[in-house]
Amino acid sequence: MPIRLLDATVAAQIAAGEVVERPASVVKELVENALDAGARRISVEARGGGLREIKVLDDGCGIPAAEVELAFERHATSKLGSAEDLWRITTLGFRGEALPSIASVAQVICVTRAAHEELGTELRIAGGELQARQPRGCSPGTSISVRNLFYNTPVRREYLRSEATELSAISAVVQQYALAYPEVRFSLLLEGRLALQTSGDGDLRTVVVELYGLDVARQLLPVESSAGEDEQAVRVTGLVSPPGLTRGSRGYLHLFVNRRALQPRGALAAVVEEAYHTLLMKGRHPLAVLDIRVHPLAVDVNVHPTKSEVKFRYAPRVFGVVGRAVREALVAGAAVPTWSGEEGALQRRFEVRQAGAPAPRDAAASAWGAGDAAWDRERSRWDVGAPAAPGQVVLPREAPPLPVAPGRSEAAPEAAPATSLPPLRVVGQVGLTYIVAEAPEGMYLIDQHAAHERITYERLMAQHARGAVESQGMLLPQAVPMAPAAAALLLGNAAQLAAWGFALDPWGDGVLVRAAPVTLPLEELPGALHELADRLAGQGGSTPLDWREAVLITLSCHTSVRAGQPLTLEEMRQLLHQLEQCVSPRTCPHGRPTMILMTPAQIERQFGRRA
Amino acid sequence: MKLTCLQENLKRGLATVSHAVAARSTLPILANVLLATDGGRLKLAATNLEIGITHWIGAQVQEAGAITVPAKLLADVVGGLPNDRITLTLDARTATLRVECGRFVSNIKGADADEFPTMPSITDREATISLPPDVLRQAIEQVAFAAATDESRPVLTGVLVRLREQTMFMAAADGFRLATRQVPLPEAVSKPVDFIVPARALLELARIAGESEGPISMTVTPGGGQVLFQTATTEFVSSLIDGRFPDIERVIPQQYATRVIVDTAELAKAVKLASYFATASQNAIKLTMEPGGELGPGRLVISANATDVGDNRGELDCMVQGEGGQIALNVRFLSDLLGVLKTAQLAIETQSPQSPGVFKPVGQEGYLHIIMPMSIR
Ligand SMILES: Nc1ncnc2c1ncn2[C@@H]1O[C@H](COP(=O)(O)OP(=O)(O)OP(=O)(O)O)[C@@H](O)[C@H]1O
Ligand SMILES: [Mg+2]
Repeated sequence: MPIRLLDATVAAQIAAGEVVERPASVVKELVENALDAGARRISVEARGGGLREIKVLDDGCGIPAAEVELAFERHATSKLGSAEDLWRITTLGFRGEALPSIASVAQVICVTRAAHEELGTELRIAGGELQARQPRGCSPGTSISVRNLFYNTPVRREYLRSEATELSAISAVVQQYALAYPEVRFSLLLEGRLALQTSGDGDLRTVVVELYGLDVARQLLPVESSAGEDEQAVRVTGLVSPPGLTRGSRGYLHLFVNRRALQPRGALAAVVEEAYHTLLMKGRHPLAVLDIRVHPLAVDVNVHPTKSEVKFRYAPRVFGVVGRAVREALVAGAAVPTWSGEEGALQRRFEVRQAGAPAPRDAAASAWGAGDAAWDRERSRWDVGAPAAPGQVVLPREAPPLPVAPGRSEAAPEAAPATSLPPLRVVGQVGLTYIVAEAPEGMYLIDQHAAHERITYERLMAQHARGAVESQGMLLPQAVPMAPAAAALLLGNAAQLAAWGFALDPWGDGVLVRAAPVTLPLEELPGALHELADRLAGQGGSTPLDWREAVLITLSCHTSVRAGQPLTLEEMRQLLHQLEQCVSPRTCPHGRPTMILMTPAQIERQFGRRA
Repeated sequence: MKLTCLQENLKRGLATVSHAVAARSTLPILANVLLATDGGRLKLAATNLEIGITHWIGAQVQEAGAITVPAKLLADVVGGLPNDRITLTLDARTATLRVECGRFVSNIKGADADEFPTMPSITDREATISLPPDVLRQAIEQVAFAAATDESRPVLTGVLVRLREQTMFMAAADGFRLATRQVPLPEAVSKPVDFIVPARALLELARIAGESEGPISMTVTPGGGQVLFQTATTEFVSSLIDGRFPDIERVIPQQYATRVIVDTAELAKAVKLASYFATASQNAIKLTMEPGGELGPGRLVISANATDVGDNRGELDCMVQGEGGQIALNVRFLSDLLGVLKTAQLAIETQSPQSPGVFKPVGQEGYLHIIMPMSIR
C-alpha cells in the first residue's frame, strides 16, 4: 500500500485510543476539565455502563461562545500559553487532546455558558464531525454528555468488561477526585441511582466518612509535613490508616501530586508502604489519602498518556519527606490494642485516640484512680475502689496527653521515641511466653518473643544504617545444607549479605559459613539462612529495601528469646526497658502487636463488678 | 543396715556427690543418693545418667545394707545436725532410714537400692594414666570453657582428650575459639586413645580434683562409652560424646606477622575497662599493636566504642615484634581467656585483621588459645 496521510478523524481516533480506553477515562477527562474550570459542584452520571451515556455537569467558568468549536479541535487548549508553560503546569489538562479524542469516538452534546455571557451554546458532534450548533439559554457552567461511546470503533467496544466493572471503574475515578478536592461537591449517579455525594465542605475526613464509613474515618491518623523552599518545597497532608487497619490491595492508597491522582504503584506507593514496613503483615496494604504538593517546575506530568504517572525532579527528596511524614503520623498515633472480652473472643482492636476524639468510653467510666504521674513502678497503685453506684456521677479520668507529631519533620531526630510506653511494672511470666505487667491504664500482656524481636529489629536496623553490623569469623566454617536454588540465591548476593555480617562460600550441598553476625546464636544459623533464602525467593524483583527488610526480619526473629523460655524478673524488666527505647514498641516486625491491654473496666465487667 | 559415722564426713561426702544428682528428671530415683556399706566404709553415690559420682567415707559398720533416699532432704538434715557422731539405721521393711545424732532423730523414707542405676567401677580395670590432681584441674580449667554451650554440634560441647605416648592433649572449640593444652604424662600410654568428654562433666571433675590430694587415675571403659576417674576416696564416671572432633590442627596458624608480649594482669585490667563499652556494642574490642622505635617499647592499644554509650581507649607498653597491626575480638572471649591464665606475661600473635589471634602464656609450655576475629571498621 502506498504511504498516505491519515485523515483527521482517523488520526483523532488513534489518539483517542491512548486517551480514551474505557468509559472511566471519559469521566476522568471530563471531571478534570470541570476542575480546571474552577467548578465547586460537579455531577457525574453514567448509564449503560457508561457506554450509553456519560454526563458531566459543572458550575465552572464555561467556554465562551466564540471558542466552543475550538475546544473540540485537536491540540486546542486554553491552559498552555507557551512551550515553557509545559514545565510549570498547574492545571490537570494541558494537551488539548481530551475533547477531540472523546468526540471522535462518540456522540457528544456540549452545553456551556461562560459566566460573563448571557447566552450559552449547544454543540453536537459525532465521530469528530460537527453536527449542529445553536445558542441556548442555560446557567453558567458546562455540561458535556457523551453518548454511545465507541459506536464507530466496535473493536474497542469488544474489549470492555461487564457494565458493572465499568461502573465501578467510573466510581473509582470520581472517588479519587472527591478525595483530592474535598472543597468540591461531587455527586455520582450510576444508572439513575445516587452512588456518591460529598459535601464539599473542604474537610478530607468527611469525604472519607462518605467513602469508607465513620468507623474507618475515625481511625485514620492525620499526616502533615512540609520541607524545603521554592522549587525544592514539598508539602504532604492527608490521612493514613493505623497499622491495625489494612486492606488486601493497594486500591485504597490514594496518592495525589499537585492534586493529580496517581496510580497506586511505583516508587511513591512503595515509599508509603515502606513507612509502615514492619507494621504491616504480608499482603496487607494501608489505606491512605496523601496530597503531595511540589513546585510545578519540580514535577513532570507529561510522561504518561493518561497522566496517571509523574516524574519528580527531586524524587529522593520527595520520597524522603513523604516517608517521614507517614512514619511520624504512625508513631504519633500508635496505641496498644486492648483485649476485648466481649463475646468471649480474644479480639485485637486498636484503640486510636485522636486529637479531639472523645476518650474511649471504657476509660471514661473507669474507677481506676491513679494518674500517670502518681504511678509507682515498684508497687501497684491500682485504685480499684468500689464500683460506681448506679446514678452516681463518675468523673472521667483525664485522658493521657496525646503524643503530638513534631510539626517540622525535617528537624525531628529519628532516634527520639515519639510514643513512649506507659510505665510498666512486671508482675510475672505466664506460659513461659507472656510477660504480665501493670500500668496505670490496666493490665498488659506482653509477648516476650514479639517484644524482643522489635528490640533487636530496631537495634539491627540502626547498626546496619551505620554500617556497623559486627561480623564474627568462624574457627570452623559451618556447613549449612540447603537446596541448590536457595544456596545459589544466597551466594549470588554475597555482597549484600556481607553488609549484614555473613561471609558465605559455596559448599557441596549448601553453603559454608565463614562468618556470621555476632548477635546471631550459632544454633540459629541454619534456620536463619533457610528463612532468609525463602524470603528472598518470595520477593521476585527484590529492591534493596525488600532485601533489608527480609534480612532484618529474619535476623531479629532468630536472635530473640523464644516463647517457652523462662525469664527472670530482672530479665523481664530489662526487656521492657529496652522495649521502651524503641521507636515503634507496640508491634513486632511482622506487624503483630507486642502487647495487649486489659483495662480495669474490662476486668471489672468480667467479675460482674459493673454492667 | 546400721552404721555410725561423723556428721562432718557425711556432710562433705553428700556435698561431693550432690553434683551428680538429677534434680529434675523423669526418673525420680535419680533425685536420690545411694547409701551402701562397703567393707568398713560407707559408699555414697549419685548419678544423672550423664555423670556419676561415688564417694566413700569412714564408718563403723554394724550391719551391712543399702538404701536410696532423697539427696536434698538428707543433705539438709545432715547439714542441720551438730558436728557429732551420726547413726544411720535402715528399717528394711518400710525402707525408712533413721538418722540419729545427739538428741535429734529423723526418719527419711527411701527407695530400694536395687532400683538405683548401677555405675561402672574402675576397681577391676587397669588405669590408663595417672596424673597429679592440680595438673588435671588446671588443664581442664584452661580448656573446657572454650567448648560450645549450644547443642547444634554435639561434639563441640565436649573436650577432646587425646593420649599419645607420654602426653595428654586436650582441646575444646566452640566455632569461634579454640583452647588446647598439652600435659606430659609420668608414664607412656600402652596404646593411643582419643575420646570426647562433655565439658560440663570435666568441670565437675575439676572440682573433685581440687578437693583431692593423691593422684587421679583415668581409664576408658572397654566399650568406649564411658570414662572413669578415680582418687583415693572418689570415683567419677562420665559418658562420652560419640562423634569425630573437627580437625583442629588445620586451624592453628603456623606463623605470625606480629608478636606482642604483654603483662597479663595489665591487659586484663584494660580489657575490663573496655568491656563496659564493648558490651553495649556487639562486644567488639579492638587491639592495636604498634611497634616501638629505636629506643622506646612498643604499644598495645585496647579500645572499644559504643555509638550510644561512649568509648574507651587504654594503652600498655609491651614488646612488639614484627610490623604491628590491628585485630577486633569479642571481649567475652578475651576475658574468658584472661581469667584462666596464670602466667605473668602473655604472647599475642597475629597475621592480619581477618586471621585468628593466637594467645600463648609466656613460661607455660603447652597451652595455646585461638580466637577468631570480628570484622574491623
Ligand atoms: N468543563 C469545562 N469548562 C470550561 N472550559 C472547558 C471545559 N472543558 C473543556 N474546556 C475548554 O476546552 C479546552 C479543551 O479541553 P481538553 O480537555 O480537550 O484539553 P485540555 O484540558 O486543555 O488538555 P487535556 O487534553 O490534557 O485534557 C480546555 O483547554 C478548556 O479551555
Ligand atoms: Mg482536559
